[in-house]
Amino acid sequence: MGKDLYNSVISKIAVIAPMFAKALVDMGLEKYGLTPYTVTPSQMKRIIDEEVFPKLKNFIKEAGALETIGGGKIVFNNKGEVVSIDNAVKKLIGLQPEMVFNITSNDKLQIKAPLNSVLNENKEVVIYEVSIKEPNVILNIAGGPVKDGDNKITGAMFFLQDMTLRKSLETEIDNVYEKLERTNNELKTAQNVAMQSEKMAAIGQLAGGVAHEINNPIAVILGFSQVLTKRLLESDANCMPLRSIEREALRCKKLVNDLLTFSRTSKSSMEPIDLNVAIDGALSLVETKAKMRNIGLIRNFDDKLPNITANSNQIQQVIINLCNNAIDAILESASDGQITITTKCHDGFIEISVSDTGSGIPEEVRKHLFEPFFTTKEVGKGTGLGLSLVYEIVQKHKGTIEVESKLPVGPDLSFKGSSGSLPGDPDLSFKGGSGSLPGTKFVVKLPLE
Amino acid sequence: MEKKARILMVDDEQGIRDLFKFLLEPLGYQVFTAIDGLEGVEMVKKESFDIVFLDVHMPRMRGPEALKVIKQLRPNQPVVIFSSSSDPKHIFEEEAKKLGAYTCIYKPVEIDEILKIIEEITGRESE
Ligand SMILES: Nc1ncnc2c1ncn2[C@@H]1O[C@H](COP(=O)(O)OP(=O)(O)O)[C@@H](O)[C@H]1O
Ligand SMILES: [Mg+2]
Repeated sequence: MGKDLYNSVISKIAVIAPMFAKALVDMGLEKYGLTPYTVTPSQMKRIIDEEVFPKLKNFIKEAGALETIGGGKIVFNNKGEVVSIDNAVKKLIGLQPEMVFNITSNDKLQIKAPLNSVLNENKEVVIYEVSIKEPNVILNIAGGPVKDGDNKITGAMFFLQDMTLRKSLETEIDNVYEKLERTNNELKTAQNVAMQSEKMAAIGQLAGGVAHEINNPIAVILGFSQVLTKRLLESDANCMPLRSIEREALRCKKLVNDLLTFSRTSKSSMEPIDLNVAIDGALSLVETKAKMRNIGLIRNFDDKLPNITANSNQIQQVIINLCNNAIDAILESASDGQITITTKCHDGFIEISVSDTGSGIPEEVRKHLFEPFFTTKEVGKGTGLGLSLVYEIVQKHKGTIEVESKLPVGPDLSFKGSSGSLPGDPDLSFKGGSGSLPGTKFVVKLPLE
Repeated sequence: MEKKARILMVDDEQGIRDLFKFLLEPLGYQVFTAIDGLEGVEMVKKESFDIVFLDVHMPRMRGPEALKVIKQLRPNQPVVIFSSSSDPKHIFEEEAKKLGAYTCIYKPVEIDEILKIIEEITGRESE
């Protein structure tokens, strides 16, 4: 990055001082103890302003070429007629030395209005910038009145300075700034991803550590409440409180279970597996649940999948979690539905997708989808760990996960987002979803080495 | 009425031991308890039980060690391992079964599952 900036600054200065450009910039860098590789855009800006430009001006003065760097003045009388004009100015605006500059016929410098305000409106100073197309220059113009002993305006004087070089250097630096910012953002995203993973690992470790301690008390609470509930008549007044204890204990059990799944992702090893077999195994666990709720499971497997290095257990976790969410989403949409699980081999990666005909994912939910503990489900039903686990596992496999979703209300609310950016990252870019039926599709892509 | 099964519950958690008594005694089972592996083994030496439930993490002697000793003492003794850490890959379960455990169940278990296993084992024996 630094070196690009260095080179482009030198090439700009070389237009004026070809023999000295590099030396001028190097001297500036040296003074600040910087190198072409380490210099930042803001440091370079400072070096140009404080080191390069003053020297460049001196150099040009000494070389007797003031006209090239472009400075000069125009003097007007109090009627607004040109009294004198430096040849440098004529040259800047593309006039031959013998040609007459007349602002009524040629107002390239847009000087008419400022001149008027100096001569007739008692304006003491006017400063403006003008850019001319033919020849291509940017000028800084400053003007003011010329007065006699009685403080009476006798005319006006305008100084012109060529800003072209400085401007182009500034644009150059802005470009570099932009590039730098982009890199910076990319870096931040990567950092976020790393942080997310760390968070997961921490949760997993914590869960693994306390699970044993928590499971015992939960077993006791759950057990007693279940025994008592069994022995009571439905009409007994203690039935409801006991059922509540049982229900909440079951909820703790589920939470601990989900947390434990995290602690497991960090340990397991990878080996070449047949994805179709692994996924099929996971689906047999989901199948009963789906059937009971009148939901169809459609397997759409590519039977020519190559083996892939993966952790079979974790892949199954991904499928089970995506399918469980799909079942919930279909139940929410209050109609029969189906889940389609597809595997497909592409060039260099395998794609696994799980799509449902469920309720779809609204925009405000989408932003938090992969965050641990984010759930829209009723208390006790969701733990908000499913998708963050999925995300974690996909990351571990160096894959990506994308989601396309369509709400039943209209096509304008559909979107497509990916885990390339982070959960909750406002920079997630969304495209229109596909298909016309509402529903959600999660697409996991796993690289084939 | 037929004589109901004798069940030994070995667990260092009082809550778990109490739960088994509370659950099973009204159903006619005889429930005995031991507070760790060592005490459990001592009891198995002296008396016979239809089923032994063994917790895994216990002071003095852990479940798996106790299982080994019990199986040496009484090779046909049905033992159910009652673990408080889950075991997704069933490695522990396989190990335990190799050592002769009837099955593994995981805390927090639902009581229907406990009852099912007891019926399974005692029913199998009476056949
Ligand atoms: N297939 C889907 N259709 C609609 N919404 C979904 C789907 N999958 C996930 N979601 C939304 O994402 C949230 C988080 O999912 P998840 O992390 O699995 O946690 P949980 O299922 O425990 O709520 C869900 O509560 C739900 O709002
Ligand atoms: Mg879920």
